[in-house]
Amino acid sequence: MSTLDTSAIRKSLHGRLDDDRTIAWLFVAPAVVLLLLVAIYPFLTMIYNSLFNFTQAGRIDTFVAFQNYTTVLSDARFIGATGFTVAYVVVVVTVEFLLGMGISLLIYSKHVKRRQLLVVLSLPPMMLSPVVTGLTWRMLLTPEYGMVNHLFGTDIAWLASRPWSAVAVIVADIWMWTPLFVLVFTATMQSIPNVYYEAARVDGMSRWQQFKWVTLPQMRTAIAIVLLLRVVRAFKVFPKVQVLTLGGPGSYTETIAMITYNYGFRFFDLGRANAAGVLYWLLMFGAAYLIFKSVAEELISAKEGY
Amino acid sequence: MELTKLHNYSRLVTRAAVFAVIGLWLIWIWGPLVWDFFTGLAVNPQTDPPQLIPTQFTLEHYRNVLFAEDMPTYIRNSVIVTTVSTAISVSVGALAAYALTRYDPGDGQVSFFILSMRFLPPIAVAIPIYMMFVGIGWINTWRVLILAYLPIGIPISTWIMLIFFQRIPKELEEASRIDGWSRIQTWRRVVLPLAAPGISSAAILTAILMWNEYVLALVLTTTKEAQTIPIYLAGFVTTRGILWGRMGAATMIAITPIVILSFLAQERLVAGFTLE
Repeated sequence: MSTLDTSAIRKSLHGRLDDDRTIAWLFVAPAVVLLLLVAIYPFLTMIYNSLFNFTQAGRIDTFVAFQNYTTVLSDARFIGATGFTVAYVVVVVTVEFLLGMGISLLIYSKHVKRRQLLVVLSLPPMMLSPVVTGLTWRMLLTPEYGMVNHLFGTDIAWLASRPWSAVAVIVADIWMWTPLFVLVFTATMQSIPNVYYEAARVDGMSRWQQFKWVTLPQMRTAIAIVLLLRVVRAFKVFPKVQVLTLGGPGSYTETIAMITYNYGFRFFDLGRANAAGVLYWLLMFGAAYLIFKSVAEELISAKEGY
Repeated sequence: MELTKLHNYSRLVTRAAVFAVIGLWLIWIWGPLVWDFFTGLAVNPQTDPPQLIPTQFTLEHYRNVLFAEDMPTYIRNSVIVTTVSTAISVSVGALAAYALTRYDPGDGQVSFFILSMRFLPPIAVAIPIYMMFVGIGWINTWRVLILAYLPIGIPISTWIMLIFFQRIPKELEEASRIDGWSRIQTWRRVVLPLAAPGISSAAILTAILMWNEYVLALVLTTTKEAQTIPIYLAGFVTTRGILWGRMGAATMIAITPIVILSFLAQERLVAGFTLE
């Protein structure tokens, strides 16, 4: 920072160092410039590259306009991966939301004393690498020596049969990410003033009515944020599934991120990989935008409430 | 009074039910982790039927992954990439977050731009970065990973520090300005010390994300010279066949730094994650 303090720079800026805007722009510049260089620029080159064919060795070849897109969109495997990913996102986020809400309400019921400890004890899975989550569940679900089949006396090929391989990746995701909902929900519940509940009781509200008219409205912002975070993150699913099922059986549990990778680095077709990457981004951005639009009102009204 | 007795009784039942469900929840969370731990210590997890608690323990699997295999090389790569990229992300993010809380140039557009990086799928960044750097021979180096991790690190660290900077009262800075300190001095002597907890939790969360990252490392590194821990771990199911004991041991070693980091951060971590 001391370099910024030198008189040379001060002079060159014509004494504008005292101008708040100039300083603010100087402070945000490094972050913005780095992100433009390592995220936006590569992303734009991907859009450009998606209009070309590539040689097997990865060299840019002929201009083909939208041919890569039509190839990808008519590939049953890509469509299947898209369908699976969307279904996966909807299922895991819904279950995690409901389970997380239930557990949070229990932790914040009047019966429980050491709430903070319980919350902290609930967190470990979400700190792990998805690879570790995948390996952990692979160990548990492997047919012959896995603990799950052993404990429940079942004989299910969890990782290599329909629909169990889909169940397996969904269960692993729920295990990993329900803690985030518990964390956010309990933190929000803690911040709701007790007076509200006292008032509700004076009005003769039942437990359910209190939840519906006091707890839920107070949690709107938190719910909006955590849903947005989770949907975006769930769309990126790749390593967990890669480690658990390798996308199998066949390509039954293959996700969009996996097929995009496979186009480029298994089938060595970078043109298709680029087109798939662009379509993937569009889908994810679209989903995020829809959620953002539907919750933006909530966020704004919540902000004005303060 | 019969009624009070009945009331007490139903209260007791509810209480028991609440604790039973919370107990099941904790078993669900911890069971798989405990199983990892025991698998790493079991004598022959590939051939023996599963036991809830192994009767015989061995450290052989730990010895194997640490000395017979190359896990230390991958650990070295992960430590270097994580440390450098976290340091850059947090420095750059601290500046940006401070400016955004105090003056917000661009009226929210800049913070939106920074946060919107979360909407880029990692694979959609990895492929073009691969193509940019393959020509100049940067693939399979630490520096390409360090660069590629910035779109993960900068947004998360900026966002967390934004929350913490907002809590520092502006009056303190104004007071120090009146005392004749320059803006930079004020920043160094007033803002930074007050923001230290926020900066450290930003660093810890960023480091955890990078330590765990898989997709970019998969595309941008090809040999153990630069590959990171998650790539090594994933190799247990693809290349080397399944060695459950080593897998359990390696998993435990890989999550140790995360355990230490989250223990160091604890309650601030909760604040950071909930993004208030």
